[in-house]
Amino acid sequence: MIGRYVRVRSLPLLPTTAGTYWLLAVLALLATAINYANNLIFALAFMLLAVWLQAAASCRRNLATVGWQVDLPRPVFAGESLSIVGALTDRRGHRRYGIALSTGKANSLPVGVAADGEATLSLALRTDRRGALTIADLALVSCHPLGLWRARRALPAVEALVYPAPGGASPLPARAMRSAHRQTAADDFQGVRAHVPGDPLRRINWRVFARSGEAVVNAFDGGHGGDALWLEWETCRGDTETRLAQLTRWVLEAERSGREYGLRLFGKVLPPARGHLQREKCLTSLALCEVDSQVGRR
Amino acid sequence: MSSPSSLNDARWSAAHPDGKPPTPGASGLTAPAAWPLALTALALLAHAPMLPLPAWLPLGLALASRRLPRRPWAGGLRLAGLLVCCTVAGQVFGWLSSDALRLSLLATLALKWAESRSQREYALVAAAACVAVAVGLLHWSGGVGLLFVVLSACLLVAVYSGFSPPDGSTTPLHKGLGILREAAQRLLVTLPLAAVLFLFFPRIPGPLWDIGMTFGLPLPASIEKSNQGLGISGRLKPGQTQTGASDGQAVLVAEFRDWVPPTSLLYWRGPVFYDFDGQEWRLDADYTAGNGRRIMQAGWRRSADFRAGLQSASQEVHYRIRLTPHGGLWLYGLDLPARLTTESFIAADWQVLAHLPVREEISYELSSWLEWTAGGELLPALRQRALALPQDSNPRLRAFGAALTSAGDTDTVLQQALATLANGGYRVRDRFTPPTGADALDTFWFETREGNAEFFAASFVVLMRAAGIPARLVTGYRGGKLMALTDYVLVKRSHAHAWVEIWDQGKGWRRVDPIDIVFTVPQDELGAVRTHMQAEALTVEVLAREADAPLATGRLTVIDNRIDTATGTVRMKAEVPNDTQTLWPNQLVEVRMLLETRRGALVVPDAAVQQGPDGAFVYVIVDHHAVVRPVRIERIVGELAIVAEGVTPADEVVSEGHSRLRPDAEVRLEGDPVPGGPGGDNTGAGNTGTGNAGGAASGRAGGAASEGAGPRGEAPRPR
Repeated sequence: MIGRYVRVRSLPLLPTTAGTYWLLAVLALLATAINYANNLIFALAFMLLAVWLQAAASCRRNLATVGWQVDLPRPVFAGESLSIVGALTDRRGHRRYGIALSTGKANSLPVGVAADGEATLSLALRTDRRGALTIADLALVSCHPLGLWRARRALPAVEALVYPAPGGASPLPARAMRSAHRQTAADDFQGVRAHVPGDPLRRINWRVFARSGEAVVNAFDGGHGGDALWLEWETCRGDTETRLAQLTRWVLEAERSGREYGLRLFGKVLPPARGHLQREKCLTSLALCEVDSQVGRR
Repeated sequence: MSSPSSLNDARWSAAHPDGKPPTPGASGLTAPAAWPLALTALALLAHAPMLPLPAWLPLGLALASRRLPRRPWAGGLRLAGLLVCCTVAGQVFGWLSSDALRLSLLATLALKWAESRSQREYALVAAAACVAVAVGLLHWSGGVGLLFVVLSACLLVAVYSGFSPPDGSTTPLHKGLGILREAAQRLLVTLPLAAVLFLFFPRIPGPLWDIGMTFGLPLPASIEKSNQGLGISGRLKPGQTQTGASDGQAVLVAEFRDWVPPTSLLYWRGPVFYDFDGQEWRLDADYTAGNGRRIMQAGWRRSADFRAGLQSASQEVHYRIRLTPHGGLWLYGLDLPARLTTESFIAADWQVLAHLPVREEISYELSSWLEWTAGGELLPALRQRALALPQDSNPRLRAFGAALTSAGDTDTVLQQALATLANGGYRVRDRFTPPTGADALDTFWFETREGNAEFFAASFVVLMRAAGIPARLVTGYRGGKLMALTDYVLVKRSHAHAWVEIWDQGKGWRRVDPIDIVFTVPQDELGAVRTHMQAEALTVEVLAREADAPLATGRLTVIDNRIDTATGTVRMKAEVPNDTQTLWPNQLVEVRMLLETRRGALVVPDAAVQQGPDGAFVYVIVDHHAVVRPVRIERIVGELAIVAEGVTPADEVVSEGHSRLRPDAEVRLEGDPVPGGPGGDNTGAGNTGTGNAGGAASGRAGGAASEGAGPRGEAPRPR
């Protein structure tokens, strides 16, 4: 749980459409009551007006003192939905009703909070572009009593990261353009395997060859010994986003196949490695990649 | 971003991820639709007694149209149905009749419900249905009305709470009757606030369109043939202009410059009648024909000429009138016109007239004298008209008038006639069954004794003529409604009035209008007043403030049938003849009624009576010490308190210096005690006065014992 415990004093409160209808009805009733000097209608009008006013107060109270903590949203690929998950907590012994998370465009399902309890609110946001996403207009909203009023409590902005959507059809580059390492020493000797054409001569186990006449090569574990895959901007074709999509797909494929890979964007080089951390590093670089127009056109 | 409307959409999309409101089957009566339906049904029920039977057919069809499939043509069909319904209702009941309006309103409501599928529509339907219930409430009262109020408020809250999206915390209670129970609870919580609003909301009197009219909204422009303005038919039959459906219609709006006179001083002069055939009063043919130029021959074209004919005139008021078209010549100037507007003149009978009948709303400025003495000469021809009486009708009234002749001069006759009116138990009624026939005025004067201003005025004219005093009947409007915070006076048809003018040899024509006095009595006194009223006629004395000599003496006629809860007082009406013109409209007077004369009552000065936690007490001096003696006070009259028990005539009570007195304190008297004098009035701190008094005689002088209640009357408020 990352985030802050938020408490806000000012809470904009606006009547909803339904609340406006309600007020119009009260005004119409008042006009009728005045015209006919009818106390029954006055009574009805004031009952409704009192409900209207009281709804405003309890709508405000419902939202003003509820506690809110938000998780950092998990990065997603563009096109997937980003989910913002937070926790509503009540520490004052009041039950809360119908509180939703809103960004102005989308609203979450409203949840209630039991007295001194906690409830989870989650809001799924559609993403369409890669990059850093700042959700600035995040707010808690509630229309709780009767839906006459809508209280809105602004929340601090939430930062999220959207990776490029994977795309492109090119297979992984079949072979490394050059070896990742030039060292002869092997740190993790795995054994030997039959020589296939193209294996460097230096790795032929001459001792075995001398004894048995078979050409075998020493095999090493991991990247340090083997060839690393270089995913390079230059190898892709198309415009910036197409290239980034292709690179993203390659990163995912390379990671899936367990190979060591490095990423070379213009001006930025991520040395080959593999594993979760490498994947995230690469994807983040791709997401935040700023291509100046010169390069993009090339 | 946070516009009210976006929320509803957003909430729907939240509750229904496909972004669409739930689409029930074509006939689906889902829960969100059921509550608005209940409220609509309540609206129909509230109007049920006023709805003609055939009206239920279109209303039922409208509700049933919910089963139509959701296609564009269904909306068109509903609209067409509504149009047909309104047209038929307009043809059958009349276009602007209440039946037609009511039916259109309800049909629209029912159709809107049938069409509604979204929350917002239901909210609209429910709010409108609530207003419809309120309109229907006008015909209910008391318990049933209150039931409608509570039910409609509950249902409206239920409709709206049905909108609350499910939040996981809602219990199954959120269904069916549970929702209604919750709504009732919510209403209960807000009742105190509602009560505060109810009590402290400023009550603006009267229809809002009255206020609108003063600020320039057009006056109702229709001249209904059935209910024309005063005098258009040229005839007046007493009882004809009883207040009816149109009595709220505005006749004119007057804006006063500088000051607004008390409305009871405003006599808007309309048709003046001389000719009486025993049943009807008739106007000159020139008036009915709208022939202004002929009438002008006998009148005044310039107000200066008219003023020259008056003995005296004062209290000029300036005002601007907006007049509703009424088809007659009358411009309803106040008595008496001082200055004219263009295209107008003063007729021989002092009305301000236009040259041509008023057929559209006009606006003009006039000014008038509120006080005047006319003087002048009565032409023989006019005297003859003002004395003529049909010989074949109202014989008793004529005989009574003839008997009055012997009383003496005009003033005496008038005084006697008014005294008869004041003491005869007459009642002013807005609604009553007018006597008919050739001797209708006889029946009114001697038998039914209740009627409106026309009956009083017409009978009085006949009486005066029979007594040999030339008299004429003046009709028009009296008073008006002063709009709060403005200088506008709105005169409505309900202000129609008739009064009498008699010819006084020295003073010319003068107005006679019997004045009723309305005053209030604390409710505690009601019993005593009623007892004594049954036993004998109660005399009412009207006093100027701070004066002892009564201005006039009259009789108590009516006790109101209810007690004003705000003040705990009862209104009463007394009739006081104003023959000597000592009473002025809106004059603040005190009214004193002699209920009984208490002889030998024990009184103490009311200053001697102290209020303690256990009730009233007085300090009695026993052996130079002050002793507390509880007393029971029967009544306080003026500065004297009648003591029922607690002290004896021999006791000395302390009347001054209580602030320094403690129980059982030693008291030093300054000077000799004065036994036996009512209301001992010694001066000097620490003094006592002795307040034993026996045997105060009746009568006002000296304020001695006991003339019943002396409540302060507001003002004579004549009908």
